[in-house]
Amino acid sequence: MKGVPRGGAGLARAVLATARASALEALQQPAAILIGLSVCSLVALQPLLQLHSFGESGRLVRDCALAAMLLGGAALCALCSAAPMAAALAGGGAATALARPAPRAVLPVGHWLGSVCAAALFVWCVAWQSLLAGRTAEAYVQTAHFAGDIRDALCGAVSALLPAFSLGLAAWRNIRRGTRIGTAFFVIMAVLAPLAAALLGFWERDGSWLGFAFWDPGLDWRIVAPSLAIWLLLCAFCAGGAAFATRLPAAAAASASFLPFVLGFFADGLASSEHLAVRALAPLLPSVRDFWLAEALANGGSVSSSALPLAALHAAAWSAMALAVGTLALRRRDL
Amino acid sequence: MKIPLFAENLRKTYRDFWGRPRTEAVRGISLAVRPGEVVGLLGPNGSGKSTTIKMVLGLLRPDGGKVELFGLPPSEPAARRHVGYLPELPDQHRFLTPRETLAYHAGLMGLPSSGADARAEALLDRVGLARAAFDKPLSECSKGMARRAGLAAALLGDPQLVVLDEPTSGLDPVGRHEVKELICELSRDGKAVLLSSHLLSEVQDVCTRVAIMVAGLVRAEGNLSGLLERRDAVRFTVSGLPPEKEADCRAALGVASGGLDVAVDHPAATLEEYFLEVLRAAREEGGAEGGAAAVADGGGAR
Ligand SMILES: Nc1ncnc2c1ncn2[C@@H]1O[C@H](COP(=O)(O)OP(=O)(O)O)[C@@H](O)[C@H]1O
Ligand SMILES: [Mg+2]
Repeated sequence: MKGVPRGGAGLARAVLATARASALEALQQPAAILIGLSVCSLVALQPLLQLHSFGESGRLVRDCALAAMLLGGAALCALCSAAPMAAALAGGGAATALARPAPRAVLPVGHWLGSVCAAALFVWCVAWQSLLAGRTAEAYVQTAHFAGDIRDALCGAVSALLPAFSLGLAAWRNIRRGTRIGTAFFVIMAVLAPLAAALLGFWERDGSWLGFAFWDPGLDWRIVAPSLAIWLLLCAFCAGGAAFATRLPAAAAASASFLPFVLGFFADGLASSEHLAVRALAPLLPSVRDFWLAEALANGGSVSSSALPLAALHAAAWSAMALAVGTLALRRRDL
Repeated sequence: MKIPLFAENLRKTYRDFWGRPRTEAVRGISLAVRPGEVVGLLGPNGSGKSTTIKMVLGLLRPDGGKVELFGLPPSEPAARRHVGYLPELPDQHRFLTPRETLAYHAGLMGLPSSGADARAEALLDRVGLARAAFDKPLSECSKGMARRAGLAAALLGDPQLVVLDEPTSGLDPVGRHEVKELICELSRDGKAVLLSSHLLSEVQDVCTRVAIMVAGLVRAEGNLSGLLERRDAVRFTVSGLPPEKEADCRAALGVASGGLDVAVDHPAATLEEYFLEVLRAAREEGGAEGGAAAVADGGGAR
């Protein structure tokens, strides 16, 4: 009657095992691969599509990239958090898992963690693509041989080809070795994008060779903070998806998880309402504005130091609330 | 040690979305499984076997009655620490390979990852899964292969109570035989086993006790040899009887056996005969169908 550990370490292992299985399943969905591929490609193509600069080179490209990250991420997270969880509950996977000495909370928390990891991988890939797109975007350049507005064609070509190349490589590995195509695509993309950015540092924006001594990736790192904030919002989003999936089938849960966020766009308005009841509603919604930091970057500005910690706090509170509700809903459910 | 499984007067009614009763799946079942015992739940499809098993494991909330696993209510994780469960549908995480399935279950049990791979391989070998299938996603495995992987997962962590819901469904004859051997082995090791099946031969070969369920009720229960013994028949066995004496013996059976060794016993029915008899009696008695009792006034069409 011994050998099976109890306590915190055992619980953490149970959550991690669930998270791993959930993330694998989430990224394996064809829809997830499609979203990843299309958002990464779309961001890379922004410098070609956006012809206005609004007085600041690369601004529209940056804003569009972040918007694509937010919307694509929301779609991905709705799928990643709700679908594996709902499938486990409907198909009996949840029953098998909970016949193990794991409390029921392991299921929503594990699935949430899995989808949060999937979201992190997605945001990482898209953020690097955004950095590359920022470099590609038309800007005034003055070098030894050239002065004027120019797009970085080399960087643009590399980042536009990167998603398709990653998918091709993942497919090749799948054919040769049977590795999972979904996870492989995201992981290859996540590795290749920073690698490409580093290598491009050896070239000038006009395509001329800079030389090893003058390496400069020429990336606008300010985009990192807004990307992190978007990931935090996605974490809260995933918690909603996991909570809804404890009671709803996959498609319904995925749709329902958008609801708090649609309402979240109005949270600011609600908070300043005259009616107490309406004002009380505002804290229950994740205020999207708290997570949208792109505006702060306009005209060379940067994100205030308190913005990210506040967003993290907000996301943690909202996730905890959603997961607690999900766990309560699951406790009384027949499996 | 506390008795591995004790259940008393379990009841379960499935309800529809509005909470109206739909199916009375289990109507008062009591069970006990002790170490070294193999108890078989035998019944036609829909008789409530899986429902009973899920209530025992705390996955379904019973409407009435009491369950204890090792003296604890099954809703407590600690109660399930020494329980292995093979569900009816074996391939829930279809994207995982058998090896990953075992790693996943080891994680759920909180087992450390050191030595996990060797442990997984030993278990997969033990349930007779071909080595080539270790790293194939379950979605590409046959039903029997997935079943074996599920069985290996159930045996993870050396459980003292093993609950198997139709363990041999989908298995080939060799697989069936191997699983039966495995169950006997478990019982020899002093584990308690509860299994459900509608396959009589399976139950007959491995179970020490059976409970025959019809429409959510246990209609017959007991030791297998006791159940199958036909009290209404007597059999004499005379060893070493010369053929010419047979006529005499027949003429004066029991009186003129001439001091020979005469064995008298009750012949056993086959389990199949007995099962059909119990089923027939249940039908005659309550007009019950083989499966669960539908609630008479369920409130309209489904
Ligand atoms: N989730 C469910 N919702 C409603 N009815 C169910 C559900 N599961 C099983 N039933 C009903 O309960 C009865 C018993 O089912 P089950 O325990 O699965 O039978 P068995 O395992 O003996 O074949 C059946 O009539 C079945 O239709
Ligand atoms: Mg069944």
